[in-house]
Amino acid sequence: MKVLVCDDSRVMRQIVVRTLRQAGFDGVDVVEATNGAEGLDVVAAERPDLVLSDWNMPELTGIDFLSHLRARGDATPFGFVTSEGSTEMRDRAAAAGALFLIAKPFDADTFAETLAGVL
Amino acid sequence: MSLVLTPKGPAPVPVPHLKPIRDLFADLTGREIEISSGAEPVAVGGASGAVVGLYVDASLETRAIVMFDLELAAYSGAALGLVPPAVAQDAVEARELPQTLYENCYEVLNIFASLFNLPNAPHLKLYTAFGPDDELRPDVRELAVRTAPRDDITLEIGRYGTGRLSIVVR
Repeated sequence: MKVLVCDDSRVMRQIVVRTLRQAGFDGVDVVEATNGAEGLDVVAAERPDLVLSDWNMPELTGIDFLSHLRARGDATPFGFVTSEGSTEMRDRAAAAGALFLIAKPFDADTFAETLAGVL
Repeated sequence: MSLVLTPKGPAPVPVPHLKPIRDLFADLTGREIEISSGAEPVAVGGASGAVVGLYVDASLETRAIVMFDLELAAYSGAALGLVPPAVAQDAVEARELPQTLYENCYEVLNIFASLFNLPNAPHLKLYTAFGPDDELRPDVRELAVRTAPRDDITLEIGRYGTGRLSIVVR
């Protein structure tokens, strides 16, 4: 299993990876990207089983990252981990093809519950 | 009889309550958090060492600022990134915030936006942050010293230390 963690903040990538481990997904292989544009390249090169992406990022935002993926026919499972958890954003995420949106701050239990059916 | 129209301004931004603030810091740092209101307001500008987050609404209007004193900036940044407490305490002693701790503190301020986003309140996001060496924008400086609506809070992060934060909304 391979997961792409995409976030422009180094510490948030660390925290997402740490939380994945704490949630029991300690066997997953993690690859990282610092924005959506880089994420597109990493998905193409690494073929992850899941993308966990921030929403607000320079170059290409998370929602644009997802739209570009789907536009090129890539159906890689995709979820947001973001500080924006409004109903509007959840609706936009779902409409664009995201499986879930985890709002920061989060804990290992949230990761375990949300990712149980995905990983 | 004349009709009196009340001018309708934008919906007010709530000052976050202590419990959600405590819960946010506890979730982010995994540490015990002690919190209380009625602190000395955080001083900004000059050599205060404070970090200031500027929050805007959907029209990019400034609606809130959150100020961390140097202590809280260092302790929250360190606790978030699992940086040893001694590193943060050295930063406080030297009155200088290392870049890594500043970046982590920025993330805390970024996630802090979620505390403003209650039902029927304007949706705010972190627009930018001013580090200890940055000059504050005049409107931010003016907002920083307003007496209301605001809250001045003492917050202790277990194993790290105690700092202060001030929140001002408009």
